[in-house]
Amino acid sequence: MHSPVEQFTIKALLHLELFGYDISFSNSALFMILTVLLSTIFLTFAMRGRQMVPGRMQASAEMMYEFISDMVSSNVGNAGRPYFPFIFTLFVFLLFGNMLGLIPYSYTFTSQIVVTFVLAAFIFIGVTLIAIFKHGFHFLSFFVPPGAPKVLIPFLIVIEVVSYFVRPVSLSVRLFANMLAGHTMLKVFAGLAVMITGAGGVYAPGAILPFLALVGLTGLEVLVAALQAYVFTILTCMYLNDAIHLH
Amino acid sequence: MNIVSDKAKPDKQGKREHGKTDVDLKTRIAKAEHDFTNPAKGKRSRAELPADALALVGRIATELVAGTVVGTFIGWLLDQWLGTIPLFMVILFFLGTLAGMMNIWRMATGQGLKLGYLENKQSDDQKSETDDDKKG
Repeated sequence: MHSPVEQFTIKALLHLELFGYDISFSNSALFMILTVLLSTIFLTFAMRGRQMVPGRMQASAEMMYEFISDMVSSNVGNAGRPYFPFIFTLFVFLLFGNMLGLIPYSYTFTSQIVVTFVLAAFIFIGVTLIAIFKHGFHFLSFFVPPGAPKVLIPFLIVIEVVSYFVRPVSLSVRLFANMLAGHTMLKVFAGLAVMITGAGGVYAPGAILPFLALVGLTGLEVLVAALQAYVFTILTCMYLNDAIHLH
Repeated sequence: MNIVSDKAKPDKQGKREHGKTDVDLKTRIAKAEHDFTNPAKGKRSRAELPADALALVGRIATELVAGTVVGTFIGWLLDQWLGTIPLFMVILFFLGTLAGMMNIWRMATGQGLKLGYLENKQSDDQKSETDDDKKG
């Protein structure tokens, strides 16, 4: 019997070493590459026809485009247009990554905190740099709440700074924890069904219960996969909005 | 934008028959460009999912945990640097928790993630943005 968390083990598929660092090609990296390839193929292939009346493939690609386009313009406004390609790529990468992870025998790279944290850290650094370039030292007014009593200001600055540094952590932990918990839960229920069946005799029909739960949970996980890609992307938009339009 | 070029196609074909569609196309392009640069305020955007409550629940938990963890970690870093363990760690543990709670309060009151909170003094064009912030 496999442990429910065994699905998250990183296995090196190809052992590589560079300057003493282990840079082995792992199953996680394989699925990241697959995600990039699949999403590129999907979007290129879907938009190849450029039909006036879109077919199923083109309609889905256009929906994704419009969804993110609306998200950027409603959350960041026109100043956000230059960042649209990045935000769209981010969304597609996470969506495809989360969805691919739901296929049996595949690997969910978004269930690794390293992956999500690196994404969030790049966004955090990028957004901070954008704010500094756009506003210079005025950027620091970020940390002083307007209209706060003078006595409280030093105290509030510390809180605001901490709350700024919380961003990449909460952003990455949310995605990672959702994927980790969801996939563990799926495996636990699947394991339960198998164990009850294995008990045999009068107990065996009882396996239908965890199995039914598993069907429902799989549906829920599809929702979570899309939702978390959405939440990650919309939060990126909001951070970008904060950086472009300081309060 | 795609929509503009897509709409242009039937018009080109139609021109042979009518001739006045050329003007029609121009007004339509102008309208599309206007809509693009001035997105309608208060228009319900498609960038929303119905599962807001679910997303909100996840955010409250992570915000609280992340606040505490990040605060404590910053405190620990300061302590390592100044050699004052556990002074800053303890102080920032509480401040981090406070920051987490404040983030939740901001989120729940519809301030979105705007740092620097307090008064709800926003310009009109930001109001529609904060409506979306709530949903995140």
